[in-house]
Amino acid sequence: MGMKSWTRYRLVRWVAGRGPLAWWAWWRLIRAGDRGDTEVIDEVWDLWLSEPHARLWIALERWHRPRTGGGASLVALGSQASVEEVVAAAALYGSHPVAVAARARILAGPQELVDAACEAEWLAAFCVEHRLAPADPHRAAVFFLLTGQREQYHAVDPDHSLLAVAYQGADASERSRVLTMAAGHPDLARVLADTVRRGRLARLSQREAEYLAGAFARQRDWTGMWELTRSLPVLDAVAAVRRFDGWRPEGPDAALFDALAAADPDELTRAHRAVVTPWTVSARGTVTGGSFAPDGRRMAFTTVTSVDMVTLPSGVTEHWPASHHSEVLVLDGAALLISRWDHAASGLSNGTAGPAVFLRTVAFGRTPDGFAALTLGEERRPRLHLMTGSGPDFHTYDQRVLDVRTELGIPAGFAHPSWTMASEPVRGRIAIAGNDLHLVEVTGDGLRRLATVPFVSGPGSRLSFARPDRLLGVDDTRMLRLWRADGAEPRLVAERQLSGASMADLPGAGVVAVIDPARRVRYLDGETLADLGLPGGFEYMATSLFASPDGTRLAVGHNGFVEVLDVALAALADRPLAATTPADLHMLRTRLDGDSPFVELLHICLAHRFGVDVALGDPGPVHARDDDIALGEPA
Amino acid sequence: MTARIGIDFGTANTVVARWDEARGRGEPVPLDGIDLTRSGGGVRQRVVPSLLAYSNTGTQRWLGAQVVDRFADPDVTVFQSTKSNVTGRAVDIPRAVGSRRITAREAATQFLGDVTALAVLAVGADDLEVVATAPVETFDTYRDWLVGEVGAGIGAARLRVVDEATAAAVGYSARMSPGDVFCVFDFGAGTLDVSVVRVEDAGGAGAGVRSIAKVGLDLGGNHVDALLAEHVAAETGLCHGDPVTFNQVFRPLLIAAEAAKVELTHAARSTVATTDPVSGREYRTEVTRSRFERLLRDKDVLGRANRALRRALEGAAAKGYPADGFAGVFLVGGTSLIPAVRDLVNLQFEPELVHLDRPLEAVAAGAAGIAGGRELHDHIQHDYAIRHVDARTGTYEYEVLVEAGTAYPTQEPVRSITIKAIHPAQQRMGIAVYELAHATSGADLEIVFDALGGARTVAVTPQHRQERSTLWLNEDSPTFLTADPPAAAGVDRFRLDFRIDAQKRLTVSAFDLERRTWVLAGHPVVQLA
Repeated sequence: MGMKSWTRYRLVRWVAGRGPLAWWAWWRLIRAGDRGDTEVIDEVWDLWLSEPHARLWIALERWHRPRTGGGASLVALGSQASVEEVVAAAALYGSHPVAVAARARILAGPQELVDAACEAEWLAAFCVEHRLAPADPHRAAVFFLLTGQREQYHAVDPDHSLLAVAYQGADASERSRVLTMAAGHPDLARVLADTVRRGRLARLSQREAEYLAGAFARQRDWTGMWELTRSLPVLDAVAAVRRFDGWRPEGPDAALFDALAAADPDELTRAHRAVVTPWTVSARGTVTGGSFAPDGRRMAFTTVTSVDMVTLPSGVTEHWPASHHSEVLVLDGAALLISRWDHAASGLSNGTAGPAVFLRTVAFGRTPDGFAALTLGEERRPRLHLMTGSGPDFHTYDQRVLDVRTELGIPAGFAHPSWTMASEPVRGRIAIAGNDLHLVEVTGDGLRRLATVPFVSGPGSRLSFARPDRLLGVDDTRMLRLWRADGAEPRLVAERQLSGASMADLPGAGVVAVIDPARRVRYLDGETLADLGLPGGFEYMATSLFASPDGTRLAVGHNGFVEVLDVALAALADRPLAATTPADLHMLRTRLDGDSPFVELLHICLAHRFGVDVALGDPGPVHARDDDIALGEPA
Repeated sequence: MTARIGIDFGTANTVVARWDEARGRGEPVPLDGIDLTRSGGGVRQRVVPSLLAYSNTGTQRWLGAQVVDRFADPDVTVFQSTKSNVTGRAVDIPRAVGSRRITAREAATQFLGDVTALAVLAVGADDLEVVATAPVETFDTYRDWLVGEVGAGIGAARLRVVDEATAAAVGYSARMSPGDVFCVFDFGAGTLDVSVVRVEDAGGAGAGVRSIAKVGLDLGGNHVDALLAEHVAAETGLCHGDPVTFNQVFRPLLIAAEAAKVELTHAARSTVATTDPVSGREYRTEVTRSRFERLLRDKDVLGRANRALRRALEGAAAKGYPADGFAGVFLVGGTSLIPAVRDLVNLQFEPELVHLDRPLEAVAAGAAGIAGGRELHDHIQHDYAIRHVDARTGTYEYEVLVEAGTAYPTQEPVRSITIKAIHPAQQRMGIAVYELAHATSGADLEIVFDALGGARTVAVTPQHRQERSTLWLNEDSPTFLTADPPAAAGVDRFRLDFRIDAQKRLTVSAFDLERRTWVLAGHPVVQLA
């Protein structure tokens, strides 16, 4: 049994003193350490690292055992230590011997140690004194600038090109520090402005925009400033255009300049806030799911007791009671409900619910000419109901019922318990998942299997087929997978572990929304599923997610309300104009309703940028001219 | 009397040649005091080192051979390798000379203007026709600089610009017979150009050449010098953490590396050495030829040169001119003197076909030949494309209109396409034409001179290479078609016929499919290279 903690504490401190007590304590500590009492050894390390008493070091050297957890003790003993441990020891211990040893290691050490030291703010003076710099030229350029070594900076990066590249990859805090150090470097401002013009910076802080515009204005470089202005996010462009001191571009750019100059900044800021802030619809209880109509202008959501249909953004227009954990799909002119209580699917219209259309329904989705529903019949045998028609009365629809197992040749006797389904409304292909995921198309004879990929459906599993080339699924282990589905065989392109099954695919905004373990909304990159972090606007704990069919609007269910955000428009609102694409203009045209001066101005900017673009005509024979002839059939 | 001269402004050497009517070929013009003779291919050749120096008082300047011994003079600012600054690819940091700040581009203009003026004096003619050369890969930029800035200073002389590869081919064509096909492997200090050409009978004017295949790379002797200097810097522990000192030492290391490279063409070993002017520390490494050649292999210099050569040969073979039918292969440029480079070429051809004949003078001699009337049949050097929006993704795509290797002028359209509006009631439809370079063949490093005269290499990022790979040619003067009545989105509206005229311009004729009428006829869009 080791010493009690108070004994250890007192002994270690007595050792550092004088007289017989010190020697007695020394003797006891040595014996305990020799026995391998790690608590004693750790206590000695702790005191020595705060007060480097020589007698304590003699004991530590004698034991030659690092403190539990390693850290600076490894550096002091000359043992193998990680880069982080060496740098921390060098940075945090002032003139302590362990810092001296760590710094000696850095001076003698491999370049990765030097690189890490240059990243540590507390070691900046040490690195400057010893002419240390990161090996990567981009990092070196930033390092020289941030450490005030202007001559060295100019020598390594005479045209600021290294810094421009580094700046693109830097986080907000480093960018802010670079801007501070860049004050008085007009050339640097020009280079950073160039990165904006080339659309390389996805986001620009207000301080960056102000700094860059201010740098050009001080130089009275109006042409350069105009180039920058038309590349900035719209709000920043409106602010920048007021700095031109009477200058105005000529030619087609003049109209754009005038439009920016005529905008009322306060009114524009309010309109911008309305675009980037979700609007809220109240709900009766916890929102469990929902659906947007194909045109995105209506939305239905389910709570544990009801289904509400909402016309956006005016408010609730219809309300139906329902049993808990229902699901809903909004079609043109009607809603379709699945009640989880009895798995009956019913049509909803004009404030009333029609009789059940199917029983034991597990999923449904839109098809080019109606909708499809997957039901589990006796012995959990999956059946696909293909409903062709329109309007609120589902009994007027033509119905085909296909036995999935028979159609796909799944052996009899195998009854997978959980099935799910998604359909894509353009080409009409359907993804059905049980023990595998089957991609099928509907033919006159039934289902034709196009491909089968590994995927096990479990309780709560979801599939999304928002676009013909994008198939997403969350399997029974909560693994999110993205397949490229435009070829014959779905090709897995990315996967990511989730904590829950909720996900909403938003290809129109380039993201996938998911709910993280803290029940906050997170965005994943739409192509790689890489985490993009927490989007602004959604402050409350989420209970469900759903997306509009065009993949641009996101609805987030909460306890008592739903938040709806036009994600594509919100992302475009803050994007530098230089980073926009012709597709953004196309999307924006669908948002023009005359209500938002911000959207109107954004549209003017994008129309100026992309308004003269063309598409190629159909390949093949070029249109015949009036004087062209065709050969007749040979005689 | 009319004098016809050719000028080859090289990264390391510049040569001026005059058309000798009697001998039927271009001959170097002696420029006493500023030229010198350099050994290459077993013969002494007359060149002007591409160097310009200013006294730091700003009152005096020196040219060519006058500069060679002034590198170490602290009171003199020397500009070298200025050719790479003309394209704007290598960063051009102004340097303080007296009370002025001079860019390398300005120095290049001054240098070439001075050389041309001295050449005019030397030939003593009252009428002058000048043909200057420009690299294949950056032809447009050089041509604009030569005509707009250098040409402005040579008075009434007529100035034409041809690409270096073609000039070299013309330089050798005098020794060929009509129908002969030969290859020119021009590996200079700045670029590598490989051309396969055919000699054609041009009637009374003598023979001319037609290009069959051409490949260019931003790779040259300067690149090799930089790699060797970097190797020495690493071997000797030149400190990257002190860029000011690094640059000050690296510049003389570059000069020493160039000297070692030349020495290693005939010697088994050489020493690269220089001294830090401040600390006095010496940086010295011995380099053997085998180590040097390993460096060229490891850094893919030989590999890239080999791939360029093979691409040119495959291009010629695809057009019916396989390498086994060549009448000769000519090595041009100082970098061709490196034994490993010569071996690389020798592996591809029968030994008796390969000639290393006056490699430093050939381009200027050919330019003089063109000035003297040797007919030139050129072709288009790059791919050119129209930008359009992919309706599915909403992103830009590029459709090739003219492929590299296309002969011109063309009577029939080189490409006919239809275009449609992408916006409702679109009135203006832009024709945006891009030059597509070979993004993968660009330089991977460049030498940059800082404001204090120091030098360092800078890596060219894939991002920059990508940006250089597409150049919007008519951004400043775009061509628009006006749709009246406005065009409906997604409906074919105009048929466009593209042709290349005798001035090497891309022209467009546009037929309005709705109104059934021609709205443009042979309208020039961009100048091609």
